[in-house]
Amino acid sequence: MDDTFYETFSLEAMAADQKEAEAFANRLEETGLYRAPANLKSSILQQSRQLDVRLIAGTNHLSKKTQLFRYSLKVSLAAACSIGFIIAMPRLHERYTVSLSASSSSPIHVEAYEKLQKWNGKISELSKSFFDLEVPLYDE
Amino acid sequence: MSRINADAQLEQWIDKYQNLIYSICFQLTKDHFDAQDLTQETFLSAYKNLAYFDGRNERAWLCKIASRKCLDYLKHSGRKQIPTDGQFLITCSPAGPPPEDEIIDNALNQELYDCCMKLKEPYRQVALDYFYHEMDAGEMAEKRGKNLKTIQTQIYRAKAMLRKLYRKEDLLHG
Repeated sequence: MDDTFYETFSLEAMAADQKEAEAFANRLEETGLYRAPANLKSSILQQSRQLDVRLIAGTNHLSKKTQLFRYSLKVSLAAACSIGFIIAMPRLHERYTVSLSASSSSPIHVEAYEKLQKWNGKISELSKSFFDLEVPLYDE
Repeated sequence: MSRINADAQLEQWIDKYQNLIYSICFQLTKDHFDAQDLTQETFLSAYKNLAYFDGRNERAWLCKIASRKCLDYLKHSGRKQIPTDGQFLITCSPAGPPPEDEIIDNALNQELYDCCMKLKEPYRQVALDYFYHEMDAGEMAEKRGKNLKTIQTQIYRAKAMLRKLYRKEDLLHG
């Protein structure tokens, strides 16, 4: 094998240095590129519209202090919710088991399920409206 | 940069560099599906980290992200590449025929078609439409009158099945 005919790239160097990565890209362009699937673009754009991706992209635009504030707010809120859940759960459980044993049927489960479903719907509506708000906000 | 500008920037980058990034990923992974996933991840990572981009050389920046994604993938899968002294080495042959050659393209397409045909319904038709005919998930949902989420789930499952089939064939052909 003629070594002068081949060029070897280190992937680790490419991942660390833009110049190395670009040199590899140049070499690939010289030899010819593969055609990316036609649906790749729509698939990427669709994923970029997902809330989690947008949130990360949005928070990266904030200053370090604001990012830290947001993060601590999120953690505190999660901790508060967990504590609230821990306090409320035994009482709720007790109430449900008492009423369940009294009625000896399952409408209580149906009721709880319906309540959960209702809340779930409300949360998804809220997040949807929150998400839609961003477009006019940036349009202005 | 506002959200709308970021979206426009992403779209522009995809139009301009999707073939390059896909080629880098394919060259490094030698797997059509992994290359597709890694290309997606590269652009999404660029979108998320647009705030950190210095605005100078987007091509080099995207190539570096793609290389990092591929390196992480290869390190985790530990399958395709054999590390030499802690380094992943890629050899490029400038004398090789261009991969966009019609013969190679046809052979790849035929292999994809054969693998799609080995799947059971509804995954066969989903795989044919999405991977072979390169239809959009939205278009497919409209065509079949199904929920987009259902189609996306079927695509996800079909992709996993195709991956298994490809790997089985790789093993068979050495």
